[in-house]
Amino acid sequence: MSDLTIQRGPVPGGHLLEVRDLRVEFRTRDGVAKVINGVSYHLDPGETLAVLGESGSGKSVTAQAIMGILDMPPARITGGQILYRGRDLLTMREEERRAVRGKEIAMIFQDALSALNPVFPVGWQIAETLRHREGMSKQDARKRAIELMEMVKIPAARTRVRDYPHQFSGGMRQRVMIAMALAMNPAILIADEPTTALDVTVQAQIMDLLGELRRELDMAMILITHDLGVVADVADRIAVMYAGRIVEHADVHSLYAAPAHPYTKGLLESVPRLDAKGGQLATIRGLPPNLMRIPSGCAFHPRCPYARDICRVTVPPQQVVGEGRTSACHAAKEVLDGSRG
Amino acid sequence: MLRFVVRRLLQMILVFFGTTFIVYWLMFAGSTDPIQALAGERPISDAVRRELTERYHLDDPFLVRYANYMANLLRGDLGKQITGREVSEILAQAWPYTIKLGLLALAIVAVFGITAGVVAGIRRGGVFDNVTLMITLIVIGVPTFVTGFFAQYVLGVKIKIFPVTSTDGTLHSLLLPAIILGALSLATAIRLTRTSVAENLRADYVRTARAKGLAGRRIVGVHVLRNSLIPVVTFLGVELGNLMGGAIVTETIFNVPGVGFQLRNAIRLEDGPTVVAIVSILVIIYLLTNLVVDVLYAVLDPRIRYE
Amino acid sequence: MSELQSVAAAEVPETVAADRPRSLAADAWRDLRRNPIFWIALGLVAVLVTMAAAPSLFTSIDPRACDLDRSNLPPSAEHWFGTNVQGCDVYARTIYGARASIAVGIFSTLLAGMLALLFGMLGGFFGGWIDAVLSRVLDIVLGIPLLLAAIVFGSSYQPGENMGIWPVVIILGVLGWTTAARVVRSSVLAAKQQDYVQAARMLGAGNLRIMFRHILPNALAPMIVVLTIALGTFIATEATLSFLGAGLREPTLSWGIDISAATTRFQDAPWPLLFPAGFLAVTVLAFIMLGDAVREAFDPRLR
Repeated sequence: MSDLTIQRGPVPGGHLLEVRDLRVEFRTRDGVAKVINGVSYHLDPGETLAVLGESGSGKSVTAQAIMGILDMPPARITGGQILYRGRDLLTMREEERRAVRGKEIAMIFQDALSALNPVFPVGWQIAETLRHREGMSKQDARKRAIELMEMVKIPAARTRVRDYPHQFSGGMRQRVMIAMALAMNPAILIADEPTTALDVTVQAQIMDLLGELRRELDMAMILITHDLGVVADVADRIAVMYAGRIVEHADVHSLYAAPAHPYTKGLLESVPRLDAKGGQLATIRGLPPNLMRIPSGCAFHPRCPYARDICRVTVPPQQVVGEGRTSACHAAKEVLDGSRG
Repeated sequence: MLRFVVRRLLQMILVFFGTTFIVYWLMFAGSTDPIQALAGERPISDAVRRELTERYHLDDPFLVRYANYMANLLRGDLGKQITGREVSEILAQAWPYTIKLGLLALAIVAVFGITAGVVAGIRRGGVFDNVTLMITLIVIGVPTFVTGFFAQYVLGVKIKIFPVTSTDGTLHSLLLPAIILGALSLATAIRLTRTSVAENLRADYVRTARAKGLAGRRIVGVHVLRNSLIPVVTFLGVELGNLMGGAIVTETIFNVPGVGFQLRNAIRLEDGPTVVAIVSILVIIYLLTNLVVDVLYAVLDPRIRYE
Repeated sequence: MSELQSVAAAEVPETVAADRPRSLAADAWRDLRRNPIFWIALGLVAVLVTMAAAPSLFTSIDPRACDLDRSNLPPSAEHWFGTNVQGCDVYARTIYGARASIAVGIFSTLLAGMLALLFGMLGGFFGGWIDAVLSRVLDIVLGIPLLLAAIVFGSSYQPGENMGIWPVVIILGVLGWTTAARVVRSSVLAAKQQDYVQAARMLGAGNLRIMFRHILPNALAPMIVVLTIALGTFIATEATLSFLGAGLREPTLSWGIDISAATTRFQDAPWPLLFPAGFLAVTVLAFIMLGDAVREAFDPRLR
């Protein structure tokens, strides 16, 4: 249907996926919440971008906007572009958008139990897109479903293909979702908090699996999470979100070694470490903002130890603080030096 | 699954005996003169009295009489009416009418109820939804015998679309009674479907289906519907039993010579044996349909199967 | 958690004092207040209850002052609704008939509610064999549809003594508590699992105290919703019973009896049937609409 599906590999003159200045509002009974306020990031083939933030930061909404599965009332996209292979998804007709959805860009969700349909067997659900969007026969689709289940390392796939979602453990269910997302060989996988609902050991297994699959299938991945620990091994770059904006953007090593934004710094410092016995746990004081009443100027200023007068008034622009690094902070240099020293 | 069915059958048996015992007790033990109860309002001579006492073991204690009655019932002998006719004969004639009426009503409820409910659920808050809600509320609120009576008057007597009474039992003559009979169930079915569909449309698996790029029609028609219909289908199963019971009013108004009609006459004439017989059979039907519905529920919802 | 919910979660009240409290009751009341159906239904119910309690406020005519010479007259200045076959004033009979119908509705609902609370709480709270017995009793009562059972019960008590509305009240109450009991039972079961119940227990609270202070309030709300709707249904059922000859008997004045008596001569004289039927429909509707509005306001899933 479109020229999007023909090539794989680097996109001449551009990124595989680019979000430019995206703005999204939610209209609720009590007012308008500005959920996304000018988010920009990009993804190249084979890369893993981690989008880090707390609940309410807008990280999931961005992903849903990319997929085109936002509930349009109450949500409204009020600005920006989402470019996939150079074409703006937001200006496409729905049929064109649907051609991309699931096939080029796939998504997996947090709670596999509720995300999977409880009344259909998992094999049926995995094979569904193969039967209905690729026109495969039932037998071929079933065989492929079993292959996919084996690829995500579900034991006894041949018999378990007939089982229902509630008959699997949490980790296995998540693997089913991954298999389902990979069925059509997407170029990009968006993983929205894939391990949040799982035990720590299972988390590690799933993250390893995702890492392996990414390499094998040469897939790009957007990993959405609030958990710093999960991100370190897997991501190439990290975008930190707060109150609907990207506040820091860096490659993973630089970010962990020396953050350039007070929020990132606070997040890193609040992670409990084994070698820091005794003493109190560090926290970021205050609470995330009400998205219907975002503080003026820099949204983080009420909680920021580096805050100064300008922070209350002016929204900080994205400042370049290094090779491929930006930070939206008036005191970015200061924070960066402080972290390095 | 087998254990489940067996357990339910045992419960059923318990409930069956409990219910029929209560009914029997009401019809026969409540009255001061059991023989008079058998005879209704007609006076009894001493000779007849002695004969009846002997025939029906009326000298025996109450429990024994109940046990005898039950034994007979299960053998197919439902006793005689006060007029002397075999109850089973009367019922055999009456059943086909009631069954036709009940099934017709159920079909109307299923087809129109589910369709209207799905449309209302998809466009919740829309015009169709609000109008349907109002209409169903009125149907639920106005008692069946009132709507039945008016329907008969308006559609049967004034605008002669339907026959006023249905003694011939043809499908056409049973249509209006079936609509009236099913009206209450229809209203409930619409509301139930609507709520179920509206809830399921907001479920997480719908978001996943959209993320898979499936067409909207497929998402609603396959994913949502399959989940939404679970409570509706089970409701319909139970309703068949209710329809059989509710047929009393409809059959009375439209003169359908079915089981409900006979039951009402029996009550009016204080015909004990007939009342107990009919109610006992209706209880069995009700319990059986409940059991079928429970099994059906397990078939439809895989989460229930592995208890 | 949907993004919308996390948006709502982000409205943390502690940071901004101007935020309104978001309890379920407060939200429900706010919705109810804005719902015109709620107010209409409430108004109707108020009028009808007044009619039932003090019929003389609405008419000065004696409903039992019947003159056979004036049978089946159409509405006129003297008889606003006309007269019925026995020559009684239909308007007066309709007004006075409200008392029986509404009283039956209210009292049978109260009885059903008490039984439902009792059995539901005992069964849900103690579980075990008590619950098993309760469930079997529930099954037996549910063994026959309400109407059938009521007919059998209703026709078996001797019509000689005039016990007024009480036989029907008892019948409906005893047969109709099952749905409410189920609702109570599931609320109790859900409440039992809550942490605050465990906490109370650990602090040494006895069973009775836990039941009354912690569990009862949770069980009440859904039960009240069910019962408000049941009230309307009971009124309708009573009328149906009277229609079939198994409900209230003369000399009690009720809409069901009047409707039943008026069916035979409907063609010539529709008024003795239309007016009681209309009042009956409006009454049942009013109660059911009221219950429905309350239920929709309280149902968090439909928000």
